[in-house]
Amino acid sequence: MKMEMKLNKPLANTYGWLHVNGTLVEAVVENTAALREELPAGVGVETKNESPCPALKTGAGTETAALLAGVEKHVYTVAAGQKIADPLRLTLDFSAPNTGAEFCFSLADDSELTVILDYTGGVDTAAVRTTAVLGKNARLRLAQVQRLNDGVTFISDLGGSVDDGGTLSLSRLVLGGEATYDGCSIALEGTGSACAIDAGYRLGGTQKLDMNYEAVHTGKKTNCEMRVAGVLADKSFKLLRGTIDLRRGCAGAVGNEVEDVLLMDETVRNQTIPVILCAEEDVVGNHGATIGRLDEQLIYYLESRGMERDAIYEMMARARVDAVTRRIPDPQMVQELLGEEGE
Amino acid sequence: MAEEKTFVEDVDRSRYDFRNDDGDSYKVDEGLTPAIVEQISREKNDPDWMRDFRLKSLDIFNRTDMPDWGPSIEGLNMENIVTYVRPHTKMSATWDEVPAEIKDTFERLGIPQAERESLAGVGAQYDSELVYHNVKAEVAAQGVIYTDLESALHGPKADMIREHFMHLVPPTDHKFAALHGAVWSGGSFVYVPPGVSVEIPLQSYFRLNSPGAGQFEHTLIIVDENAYLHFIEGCSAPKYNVANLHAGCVELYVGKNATLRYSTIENWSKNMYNLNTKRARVEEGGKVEWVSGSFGSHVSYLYPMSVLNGRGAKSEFTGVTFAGAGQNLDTGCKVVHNAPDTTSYVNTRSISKSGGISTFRSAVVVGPKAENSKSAVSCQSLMIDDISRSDTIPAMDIRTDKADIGHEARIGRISDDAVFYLMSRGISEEEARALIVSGFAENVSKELPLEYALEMNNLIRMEMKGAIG
Repeated sequence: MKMEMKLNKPLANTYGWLHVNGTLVEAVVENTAALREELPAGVGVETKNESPCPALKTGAGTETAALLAGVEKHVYTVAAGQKIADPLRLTLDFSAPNTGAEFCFSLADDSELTVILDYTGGVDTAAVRTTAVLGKNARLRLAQVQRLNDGVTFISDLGGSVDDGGTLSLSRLVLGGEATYDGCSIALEGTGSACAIDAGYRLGGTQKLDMNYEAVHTGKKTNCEMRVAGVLADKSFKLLRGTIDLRRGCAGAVGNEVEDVLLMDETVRNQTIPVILCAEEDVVGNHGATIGRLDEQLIYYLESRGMERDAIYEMMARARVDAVTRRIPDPQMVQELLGEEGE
Repeated sequence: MAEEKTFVEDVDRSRYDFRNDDGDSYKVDEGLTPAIVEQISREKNDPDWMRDFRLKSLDIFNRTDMPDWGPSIEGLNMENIVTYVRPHTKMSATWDEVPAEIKDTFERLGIPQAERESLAGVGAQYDSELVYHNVKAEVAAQGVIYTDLESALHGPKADMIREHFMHLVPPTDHKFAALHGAVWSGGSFVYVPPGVSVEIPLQSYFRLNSPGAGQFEHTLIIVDENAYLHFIEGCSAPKYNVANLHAGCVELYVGKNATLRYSTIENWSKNMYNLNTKRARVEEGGKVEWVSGSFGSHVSYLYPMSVLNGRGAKSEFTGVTFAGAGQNLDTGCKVVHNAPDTTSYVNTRSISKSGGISTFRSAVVVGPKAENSKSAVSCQSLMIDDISRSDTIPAMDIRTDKADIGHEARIGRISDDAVFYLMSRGISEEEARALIVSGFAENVSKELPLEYALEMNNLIRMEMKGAIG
């Protein structure tokens, strides 16, 4: 039986008539997704039936834990001081209907790990819940690439906490599926902890992308860079709630958020809610957004160089997504994605 | 070395915080019932349609939920609010006819002096009723109508009022719009005929004197084709220990190629719940300019909205909000682009100190018909100390590809380098900080007539007055 959830509830509500204070989603997960794992030496793995980090706040909300209650939970650990050079590759095949997976990455002090999560296939609903717990000076580079089949509803939820001097770098690409609900909440708890979120998407047809990204600064001198870029064509829809929450005590913190949306057709719809919450004096918070079509002067210049208008738009659309793709910390995946796009 | 900190005092509101005994006034009972609404309607000598409108609005109010976003309004209990208080006087056209105590109130607020020196007309409301209304003869001779709304309801423009009253802000808009529809009283009606430019501003001033009362004035302005008007709205109240409520409504109709500038210096007392609704509809080639300074109130929900309905219509919003101790001011604006080639420009500053909370909240909606529209939003927030709060919650909803939308926001504190530079020039730290904050709010002060800009800067200076400790 499908579960009714209100996902992606933002940290601060706004006008009710905009309908952005959370999204109602009905979904069910009955099976565990097939997992292909390339496990580098030095990474520990354990499978559990219970959620390893149930209390960690995630972006989509606590209901995803209940949705995925029946699937296996994979816990990957890196011991203190271990710096793993090769990426941990996890390829998920959602070919069975209504499948899900849950992962937890636990990095002890001074450790490093790169993780590539690749989502493929898909029937009806696919869902993934990911948590990351970083110790002092730990560094996790996590890339999530969503290239699911047409028609799939995808729920992706992430929660992370970062201790002193730790860094969590996220790359997220949304290239497939029909409706994607993408949540992400990072707690910057340790002094000098940092996160970088790079997200890219290219949507067409009637695709829908509903995002809720949060960086919660409680530690001193914490830093967040949130960069989202994408392209909307046909009748696609995108909603980004991006919140930088500078809480009392996070003196010296800096939070930056930038969004760039290219609109390709008159039937697209874009909603952007870039929020800064601030309860500390000695901080800096910035956000900027650019939404619309290409600059006419740029088009004029390129047309004068012999390019057709459609080709210019295609080139600039690719450039936005490619910029995010190139930040994925795995040359093999970057090459594969750039090659796919070029075909 | 211990870090130096600036202690910032609360504003000296003695100019505004004086009160008169309201024992002589006529009041309805506390609370909100059909009987009270009918009583107000009888007192106002409403036409039948207006009485029916009030009762329908009350029904909508009772069926509408409180907002589930924004500052808490739990301290506001409608059962304790007196929705209609009529001072013991009739409206006059000369200050000499206004009772001495009320006249003295407006003298202390500087209204008659401003009228003599820099205004084309003045309306002065005291609690629920206008007590004074006048417009200069040369302005009236141009066909400009500036009168209280109740008189207009029975005058030659009665049909025009009926055609426009609460059409921009229907009672279904939100709970306090419905409340306004049920119990509105007072306010002004302005009509500027086609081609007429009113060179000097008109002003309405709203004073709420009675404790535990609500003020629900309705301002309806119609600026016809190719006309120009600058309208100034001021408001204040003495502070009481009980909650007061302001749920006014402003509806502005800006005709083809017309321009309306609407300036507000809001300085309600810090027991006031300011749940005001302002909206403008702008036709082809027209322009609305909002200039807004929010300094008072305990809690504010204030988001003037521009609906750009005609090709090439424009909206500019310039605002400053200063939230001090005990204040939670949720302010901003909304713009709806409904036609091609429309533009909107939003430029705001907010300042938080002494535990005050300021929130900038906005919405820019660009509809499918608004091809070639442009919007730019810039909001900056200044945190004076680490016990205050400043939030920025903008929203953009874009439904066409042929639009250019830009948004930028910044939250920070007063730059130590800037303070150091000014101090190196012989200015005290306190003065330096006050100067920086005044400069920060210059976006609004430079848009106001000189007298009002000076008053606003004085307010900021008083807010920033303190000692280094």
